[in-house]
Amino acid sequence: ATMPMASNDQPIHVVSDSLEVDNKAQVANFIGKVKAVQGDVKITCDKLSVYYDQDAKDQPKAKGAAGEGMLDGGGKVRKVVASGHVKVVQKDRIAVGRQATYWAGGRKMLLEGQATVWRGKNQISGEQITVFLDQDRAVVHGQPGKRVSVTITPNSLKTQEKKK
Amino acid sequence: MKRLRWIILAVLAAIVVGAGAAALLHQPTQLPVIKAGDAAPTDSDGRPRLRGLKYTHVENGVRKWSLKAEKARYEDKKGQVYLDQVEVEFYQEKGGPIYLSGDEGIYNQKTHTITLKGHVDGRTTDGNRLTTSVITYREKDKTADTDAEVTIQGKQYKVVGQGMLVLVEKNKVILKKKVRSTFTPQGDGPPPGVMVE
Repeated sequence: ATMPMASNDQPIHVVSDSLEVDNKAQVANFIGKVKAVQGDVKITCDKLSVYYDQDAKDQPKAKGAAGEGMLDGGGKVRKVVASGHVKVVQKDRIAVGRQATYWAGGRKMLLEGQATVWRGKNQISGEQITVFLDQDRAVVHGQPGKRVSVTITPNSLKTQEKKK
Repeated sequence: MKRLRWIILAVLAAIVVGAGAAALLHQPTQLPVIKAGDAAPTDSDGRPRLRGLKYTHVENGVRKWSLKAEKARYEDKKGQVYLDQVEVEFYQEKGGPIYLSGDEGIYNQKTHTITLKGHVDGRTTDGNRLTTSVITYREKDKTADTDAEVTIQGKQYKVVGQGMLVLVEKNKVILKKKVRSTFTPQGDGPPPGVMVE
């Protein structure tokens, strides 16, 4: 069953060598042997960048107002980008690429840069793939001049029919 | 993590410490006017010691921060001020006050550094917290630094690391090693058109 679209996501647990937070750029970079887990999705990569911002209503009145940015209220984690040797594992699905982007509350991931998704022996590859985390679905984005490749192993179809 | 508020807290902790140091640096050489309790002239070791020190720093009529210590002792040779049971309260223009406390504060007038030691605890009124065992602020390069384990947490996040460097002017925080974090993203998915629907 598809999980309800929650604006509040599941927590993400991250382990890394170090963490650098740039409060002006509003990004926190987990660096070095990064492992991140959210529910049944596991990501390993070289760097995980967590982008956060402020709700419109929390925006300070004037640019550079005292407390703007540093001292004011909270903001929200909007987007997480994994880069460098990215590998995503979810149950029997594996995905690799140069970068994977996850938007909070979206329950899908954009894989980019020689992206490939395997499920058992089946495989799809392309420059950009949307992976649906709550559905058994992945879609390769067609792009002019860029090849898309799909490999489907008949045996795996047969074994699935036997199971029914 | 909700806007990673802990980042602000970590930087604030440094600023609070820094502000404390800066104020001590720039004010005239003698200690500020102290509303002392029963200020015993000397302590058992015979050295001059003040009890119940409280100092509030005001700029252009606006209260900026206040520092409380149970005891304060000044060592002329080393040019160091030792404060016991230190509490610093930092008053923001927006948002509630920020509290920073530690068992011991050591302010070195020569190296212009201030160190807080023992149960260092930084808190904001909206629930963010920073704890470590020691942190040193260097006025010269405006950095706060520790090699101890640091825990920073709030309602939607927690991050633990070994060692922390806060670059106050660059508004950056670095957790040096062994980082473990949990945070909860909040949002409504990707912007339209970025992904296949």
